Amino acid sequence: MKPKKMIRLLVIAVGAVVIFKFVFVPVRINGLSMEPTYHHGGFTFINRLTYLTRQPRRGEIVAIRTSGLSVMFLKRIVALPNETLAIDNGVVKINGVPINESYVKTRAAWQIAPVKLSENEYYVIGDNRDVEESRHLFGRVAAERIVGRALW
Amino acid sequence: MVNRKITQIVLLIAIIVGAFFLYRYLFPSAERQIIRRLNNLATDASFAVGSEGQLKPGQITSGLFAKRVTDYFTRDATLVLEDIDGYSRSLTGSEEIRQSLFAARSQLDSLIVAILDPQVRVESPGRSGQVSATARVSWEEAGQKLILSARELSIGLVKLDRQWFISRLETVSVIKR
Repeated sequence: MKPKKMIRLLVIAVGAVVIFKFVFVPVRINGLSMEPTYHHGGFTFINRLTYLTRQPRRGEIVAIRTSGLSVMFLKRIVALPNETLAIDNGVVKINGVPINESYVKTRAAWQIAPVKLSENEYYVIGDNRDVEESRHLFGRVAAERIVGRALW
Repeated sequence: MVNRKITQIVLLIAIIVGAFFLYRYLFPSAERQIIRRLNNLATDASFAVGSEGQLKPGQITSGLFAKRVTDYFTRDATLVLEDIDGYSRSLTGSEEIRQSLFAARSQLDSLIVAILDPQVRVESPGRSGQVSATARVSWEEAGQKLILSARELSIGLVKLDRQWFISRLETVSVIKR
C-alpha cells in the first residue's frame, strides 16, 4: 500500500473515532420506555455538542449517563431547574399548569406529588406512559449527567 | 540499508510495547487488580441452566454458585439495592447474601452480568478502594425472553490477605423520584 493511501486511511480512522466518541455517539435503544417515539432495537446518535452552547430545553430527548457511556438512559425533559412538577392523573403540571405533551399517545393515571427542582436538576420521563408508575424509570436528574441530545 | 533500519526500529517499538503489557499483566496496579476482581465476579455470577432446569456440562449447583459469589464479599458486607420506584432492600452479612444468591439462582433460567465503565479510586495506600461502575444484567425467567437491566453501582472494597473483597455495594439512583 502506498504511504499516501495509508495516511489517508489513518486520518479517516482517527476522524471516525473522534466523531463517534466525542461528537455523535451512536446508541442502540433497549426497552419500551420511549415508545412510540423510539422502538426497542432502534438506533440514534447523541449529539454531545448541543449543550456546550446552551442549556437543555423542555421537550428535548436527552441521553443520561451512568458511570460511563456504555449504558445511557434516553428520556425526555419535562421540567427545568427551579420549576415545580406534579403529575395528576397522568397529566404533567409545571408550576401548577398542565403542559401539552403531543408525543404521549396513551397515559396511565400516574400520581406524583409536587416536586420542587433545585437549580441543577431536570425532570425526565419516557414517552411511554401506558405502564405502571412502578415499572417506569423517571424523575430528577443532575445536569452534569446529561450527555447530549438525541439527533432524531 | 534504510529498510533494515526501519525494521529494527519497528521491532524495538514492538518489544517495548510487549514488555510494557507483560509488566502490567504480571504486576498489576491496585486499580487493575480491582477491575480484574470485579470482572471475575461478573463471570462467576453469570450462568445459564438448560431446559427443564438441568445443569449443562461444567455447570455448578445453586449452593456452589451462591458460595462462589459470596466469596467475593467480606463476612460483614452490606448490599443496598434500590428499585426504580425508590423501594430499597438491604442485605447484611455473607450468610444473608449467600441465601439470596441461592434463591435467585434457583428461580432464574439464566443470568448474564457485565461490569462496565469502572471508575476506581484507591484509598489508604492500597488497602481500600471505591468503585463507581455500571452493572448490566440480563436474565431469563421461566422460559420468558431476556430482560435487560442496567444500574450504576457504588462499590467499596478492602484488601485482606493480598486479595480484594467487597465490603459494601449499593445501587446509585441516576434518576431519582
